[in-house]
Formats: sequence, structure tokens, C-alpha cells
Amino acid sequence: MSLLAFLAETAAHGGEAVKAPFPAFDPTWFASQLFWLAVFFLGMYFALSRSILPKLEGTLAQRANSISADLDEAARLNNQSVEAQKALELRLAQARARARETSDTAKAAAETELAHVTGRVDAEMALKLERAETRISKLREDAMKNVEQISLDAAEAMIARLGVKASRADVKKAVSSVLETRG
Amino acid sequence: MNLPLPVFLPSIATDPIHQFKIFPLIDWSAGGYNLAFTNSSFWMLVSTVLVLGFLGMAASRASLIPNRIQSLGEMSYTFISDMVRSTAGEEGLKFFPFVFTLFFFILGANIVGMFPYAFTTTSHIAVTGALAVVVILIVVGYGIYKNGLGFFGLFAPHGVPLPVMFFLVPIEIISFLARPITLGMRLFANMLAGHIMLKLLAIFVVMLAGAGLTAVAWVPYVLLIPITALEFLVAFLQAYVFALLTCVYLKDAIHPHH
Repeated sequence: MSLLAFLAETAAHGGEAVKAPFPAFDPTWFASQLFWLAVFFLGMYFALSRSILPKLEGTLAQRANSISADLDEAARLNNQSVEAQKALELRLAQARARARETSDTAKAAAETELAHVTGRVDAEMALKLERAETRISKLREDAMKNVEQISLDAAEAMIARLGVKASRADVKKAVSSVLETRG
Repeated sequence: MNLPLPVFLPSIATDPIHQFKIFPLIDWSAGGYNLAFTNSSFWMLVSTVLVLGFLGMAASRASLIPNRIQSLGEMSYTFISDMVRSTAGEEGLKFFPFVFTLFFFILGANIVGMFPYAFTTTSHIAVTGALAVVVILIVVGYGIYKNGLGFFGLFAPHGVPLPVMFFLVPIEIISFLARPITLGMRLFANMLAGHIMLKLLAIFVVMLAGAGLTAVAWVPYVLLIPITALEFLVAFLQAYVFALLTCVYLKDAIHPHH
């Protein structure tokens, strides 16, 4: 289309437009427009307000309910778990106390037993030691007596060999004094 | 142009006003009125069916975990109900279905009108004016039903000295009377102007290209893209503004002494 042809056509339309009113203000169709507006607007209004909006509202309310119910349930379970933990801690503390008590009792019993046994063994040992000592001292005494006799015999024999006369009592005295000084 | 063109078939029009012309598809008159089913009625039916189809699909799947369309439907619900609650208060929720219908009726008509060869029903003052008048009638009706003559306290704000009242009351009355006019006019003018602008730019492209000025024809052609996007925004915004102002006016009906 050339520019000239276009201008000619718009001019023709312009001429038409002078006769016919501007379409938006043309009263020819006002009644039809209002009638069909009422039909479709009311149709949409009733479809929305009777069916669609209540459904959407129901879904939204249901979701809000289920979310709050879930949150309540979560809070309830959380409380439950906190309580369970508290109970567990309490039972742990009780068990620990009982264990300590048991171990203390056992320790005390063991100590008593140990002390008892130690005492008995000590007493037995002391008795045995005493007996042994008695026997040792007796043996020693016997041995010492024998030593004195042997010394006396030896001294007498040496004196006899030397040809010195001495009473048996003097020899005995001298020997025992020497033995005493030497221990 | 005198042929009964099917509404959905392209009509070659180099006239930016042609797109607003109404022609009958099914002639019908009742009670002396011409109630023909026109191209305007047809596209109103299309937008109504699309809106109800979308929202009906969104509402039919009442799943606890929504899919996309259900999520969109629920977003629409909470968007409008939050707007009504925050603007008109809890009591305003009585009018929630009405405001919701208004918003989606206008949005549907505006968006459908954005498609080529479709008719923008909201670009006619008869439609937008009627919607505005319905809003104001509901506001006045409910205001008087709820507050009796106290509703007219709307025109006399509290704590204003008497001499000032003589000036203030007429101003308030005029501003109230202007409401249906501005409410209807705003939507109508926005739709009309937007579509004329789009059409003019499109005509420029054809005209310049037809005159052999292809290089220059690119300018309006590229310009059309952001303006088309802007018109989609306007389509949404005007529906929102209409619904929001309805809520503001409803608030006056519920609490006139503010």
C-alpha cells in the first residue's frame, strides 16, 4: 500500500467517523452492552461466590489447620522427648548413686575382711615367732652349756698338758668369765 | 467492512478507532431494547469463560500441597482478601466475593483485549461506567443500611470548625459524586488510550514500510515491544486500582466517620 493510498483511505474513514459517533460513546449498543455485562458479571459472581471461592477458602483453611495441627504435634513430641530425657537423666543419677553405694559397701566389707584376716595372720605369725624364739633361745642356751663344758674340758686338758695344777672350780670360774666377756 | 466479519478473523483496519466498533453477531431485541449478542458480548463471554476456567481448575484440585494452577488460584484469593482486609477492614470481607469478581472480570477483559483481533470490552464507557455505578450504589446502599443517616456524616468530617464546614461539605459532596465518574472513566480511558496507541504505532509501521521507508519503520516496530509490555502492566494495574478503590469506598460505607 502506498502512502498516498493510505492517506486517501484514512481520509475516507475520517469522513465516515464524522457521521457515526465515536464507537465508545455510541448509544446504539448501550442496552446490549449493559444487558450482557449484567449476564456475564452476575454469572461470574455467582460461580465465584457459590462454588469457586468457598472451595479455595476451604483448601486454605484446611492447609492452615493441618499446619497448626502438625506444629502442635511437633511441640507435643518435643515436650515428650524433653520429659523422656529428664527421666533418663534422673534414672542415670539414681543408678549412679546406687552403684556408688554398692561399691562403697563392698569396699567397706573388703576392708573389714582384710583387717580381720590380717589380724589373725599377724597373731599366728607372732605366736609362731614367739615359739621359734623360745626354741632358739633354748637351743642357744643348750649350745652355750655345751660350749662351756667343751671349753672346760679343753682348758683342763691344756692345763694338764702344761702341768699346772688347778682346781676344777677355778678352771670353771676362769672359763665362764672368759665366755662371759666374749659373749 | 459491511460484511458480517467473524470476530476472530482479521479485519484489515488502518483506522485506530475501528477496533472499538461494535457489530451484532446474533440479532435479538426484547422489550423494545436492542440486546443483540455483539462482538463485545462474545469477547466478554470469552474472558468470563477463561477466568472461570482458570479459577475453577485452581479450585477443583483441593490438594494440601498445591500444583502451579492451584497455587495461582490461592495466591489470587489471598491477594484480594488481604487487600480487602487491609483497606476496608474485617467487616469489608462481606464484600470479598464482589471485589474478587470485579477484579477478575476487569483483569480478564483487559488481558483478553490485549490479543490481536480481540475486542476490549473495558474500553467502552457503558461497561466501565456501569461497573462504577454498581460499586457506588452498593457503597451508598450499604452505608445507609448500616449507619442510617449517619452515613451522611461522611460529608462532614469531625473536628472541623463551623465556618469551614460551609466550604468543606460541598467539596466533599462534589468529590463523592465524582467518584463513579472518575472510577469508570479511569479504566475506560486507560484501555482506550492504550489500544489507540498500540494501533497507531502498528499503523505507522505498515505506513512507513509501505512508503518504502523500511529503515524508519523499525523505530515504531521496536517501540511497540515495550509499549505492549506496558499495556499488559496497565491491564493488571487498572483492574487492581478499580478493586482497590472499591475497597476504599466500601470502607467509607462501613466507617463513615473517618
